[in-house]
Amino acid sequence: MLPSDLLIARARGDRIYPLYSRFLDHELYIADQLIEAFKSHIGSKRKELERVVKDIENEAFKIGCDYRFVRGLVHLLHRRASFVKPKVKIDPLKARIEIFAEASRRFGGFALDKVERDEVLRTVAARLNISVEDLITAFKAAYEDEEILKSFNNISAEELLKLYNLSLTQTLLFKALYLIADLRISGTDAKILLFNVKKLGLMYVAERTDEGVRLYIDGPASVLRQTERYGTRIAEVLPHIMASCEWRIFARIRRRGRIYKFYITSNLFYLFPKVKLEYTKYDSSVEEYFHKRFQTLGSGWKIEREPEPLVAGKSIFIPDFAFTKGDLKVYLEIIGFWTKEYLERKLRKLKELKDVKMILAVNEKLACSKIINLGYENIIYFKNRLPTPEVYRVLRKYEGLQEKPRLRLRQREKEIIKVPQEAEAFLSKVKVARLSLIVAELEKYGLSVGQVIKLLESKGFKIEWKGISLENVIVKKPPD
Amino acid sequence: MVTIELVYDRGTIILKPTAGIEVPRFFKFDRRVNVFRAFALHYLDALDFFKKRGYKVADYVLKPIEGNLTVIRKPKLRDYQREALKAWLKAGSKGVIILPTGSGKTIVALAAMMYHKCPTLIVVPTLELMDQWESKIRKFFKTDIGRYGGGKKKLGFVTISTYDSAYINAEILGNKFKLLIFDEVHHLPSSGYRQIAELNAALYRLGLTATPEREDGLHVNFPYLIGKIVYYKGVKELSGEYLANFEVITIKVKLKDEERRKYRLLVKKYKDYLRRHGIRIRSLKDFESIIMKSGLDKEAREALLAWREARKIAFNASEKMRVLRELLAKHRGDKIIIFTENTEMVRRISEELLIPEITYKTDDNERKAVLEGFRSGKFRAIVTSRVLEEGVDVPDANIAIILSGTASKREFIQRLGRVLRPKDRRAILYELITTRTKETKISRKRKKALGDVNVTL
Repeated sequence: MLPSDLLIARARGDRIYPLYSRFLDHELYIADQLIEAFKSHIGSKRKELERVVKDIENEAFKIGCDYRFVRGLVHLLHRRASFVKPKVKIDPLKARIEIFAEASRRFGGFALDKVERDEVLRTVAARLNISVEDLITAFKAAYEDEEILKSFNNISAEELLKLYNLSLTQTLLFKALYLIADLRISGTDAKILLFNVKKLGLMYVAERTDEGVRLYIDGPASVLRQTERYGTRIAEVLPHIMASCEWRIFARIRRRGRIYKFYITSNLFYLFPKVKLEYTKYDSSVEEYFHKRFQTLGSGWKIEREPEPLVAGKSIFIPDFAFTKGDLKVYLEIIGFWTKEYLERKLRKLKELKDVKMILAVNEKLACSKIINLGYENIIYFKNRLPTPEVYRVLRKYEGLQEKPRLRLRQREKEIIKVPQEAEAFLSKVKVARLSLIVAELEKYGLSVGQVIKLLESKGFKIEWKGISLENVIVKKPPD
Repeated sequence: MVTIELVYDRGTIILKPTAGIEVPRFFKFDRRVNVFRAFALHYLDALDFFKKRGYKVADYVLKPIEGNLTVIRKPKLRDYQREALKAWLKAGSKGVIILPTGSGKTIVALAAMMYHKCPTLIVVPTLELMDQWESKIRKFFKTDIGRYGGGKKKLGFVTISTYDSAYINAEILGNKFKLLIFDEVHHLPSSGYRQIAELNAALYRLGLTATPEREDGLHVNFPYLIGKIVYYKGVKELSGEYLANFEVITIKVKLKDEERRKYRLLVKKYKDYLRRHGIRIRSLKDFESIIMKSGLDKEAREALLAWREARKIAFNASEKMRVLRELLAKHRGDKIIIFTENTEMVRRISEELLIPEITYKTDDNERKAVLEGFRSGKFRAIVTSRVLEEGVDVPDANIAIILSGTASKREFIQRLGRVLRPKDRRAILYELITTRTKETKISRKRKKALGDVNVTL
């Protein structure tokens, strides 16, 4: 993303489009020059680098590059660079304060000529026991342009231009009122995308289309007034959209008091960097194990990991597995961290998926509330590993085979959790804390998330759920 | 009886459609999630509406921050401050109070806080003002203080935020406070910042400013966002008794021959460009169009650079440095603030004259140390660009020197305000302008503000 004043975009009629780099020779040349400038200035002062960059900007202008383009590249390069304060004999703040104070004390506020100035500097240097030169160096070290370029994360000219194109698109989206994305997308990528949409406080409505899924993305207040408020967040979602196999984006952009349309599709993929998404948020060991086991079962069902997302009403279901046998298709979703309300919401959504057969596999260890009967047959509770036999039993039911699966709710055994004294001591000090913090602490004593919650409940703590992530769960000590 | 469930959702309030209830007009149906939705601003209106119709409301909107506020020292109000507070309370603890710079607006706000003793969000334009509010609050109350802005994100029973941070985090802040205080409230009605008020459910709202009017006319939105103007006093009415008498002295300097030659050349280059392309600059928009063109258009770029260079010559005329030294020599020992339009000049003055500087680039610790030192008298002078204009308390400063500035009346009034604190000494504002340059026009424009405050030159 770039500062808004570096956005280069053209409007034609009611359409707007950014002026992308097409990797032309002179653009590659300038990019190379800039990268070289950063590389060769490791160990030099910021102001020296800036001087060279300024020269390149002027040169670029002569060969037909917009100065905003050059500054855009420089902006991106700066993000790959780190600067450090120059080495000094004495803390710059101390040097400055001493000097200013001396000038005030001695001359009523300021040094009006060279004689006065030298006297102030000499006095302070003597008092601090350093040379006048060292004192002046320390004085200047407070200025940003005296900083030293310490390191630079190298990049090729072509990659830099691709990164620039992505940033340019994001910068245009800062002023987006809403965005519509048509996607052909894998379940995993959809999960990450929607996770991010929600994390950013945006909202989406999903719709099934011939090719895949359509998402309308905006924010809560958008229904009251169309606003650019969510633009920066929409821009943050863009890389996640670009990670899908095929995408088409439409957005409304407000610029200089007018509203424009912006289109772009994955046909232009070569303009942008390849987006690789980190998938660490979800632990997949449960899935992997189950997948292997099921395949060796010889059930006659074909198992597929991460099938296409399903649209239910206005939201999306992302099953972890699909089982197919002939015309029959059954999905399974593994539910990680959950609350009763979360499950209820899930089930309500499921009801909208009328023709879809879905099994929910719920990890009891990640329970955050007491299990109750939710009135949905196809829930399987498990502790460590997702049991293949139980899943198979449900599948057989769909095949029309009898043997009604015995899917009763397991009684949760009364578990008394013992913790060492250190943990008790820690808990006794807790007044208000995030659950994530307490879990991190108690994990040291071998407690699972579920056990921690049970322990807290048994001690009478109030647990406030503000979301499904541990970060958003607040634990409060009850008043005595 | 019908029960309605009212819930807070990220800056809005929502209610589920229920058979047979009437929904006020400020709610809109949100078909994304099948609920009615309104700006959190309408929370109180919504409660009133439902109460009048006899509906029962299950209210889950406010989650006020827990804590309390103990008064350690009672804010002492002057007559007009007490009147202002009364007027605000009478209007249902809603509305804008207009008082001149230096007349103690903060004290009125503190009295309002003392009256309500509820979780309060204070929104201010700059980090300096955050510091200042915090130390004022600590002086009068014992309470948990939170900060949003300048890299900090901590909630407290009393939370101080910058406008920027409050805008970005409006969803989080929207249901945690009962009282909102907007310092320098003329910032609020812009299309972005207004959302701070719209996405917040707070019941009580107080706006403070000396200069309510906006050039874009958006101040008409005060009643909707905060409440009506409940109290107004101008400088005229308070000067003398409560505020320092002041004097504005304009000093004209000439460009040196070399500078004059360069200046003429640059201005000619710029004007030639305008003439050749038939461009007339009547508004900011016309000027922006040149900036737009300058991306690829060589002539436009050169014209623009010439304009900037010419302006710099006028603003930073070498004669100004000489006059500045003369003025300083005359006022040795006084408390002086020097304002300039560009940060290069600030740095030059600081390095040459060894005067502490404050610009937007100044590091946090140094900024605090410098302001603190200036207050205590450890430093007698300070040089700054635009940072110190708004509301920052620099007590006892009695001399302001404007080396350069824009044509903005507000900027001028605010700079003047820095030396207008109650005290016995007479305050002087010096203004240095370069003759026969654009600057004379700029100066004339901004000094129109003096007409409004009734000054004798």
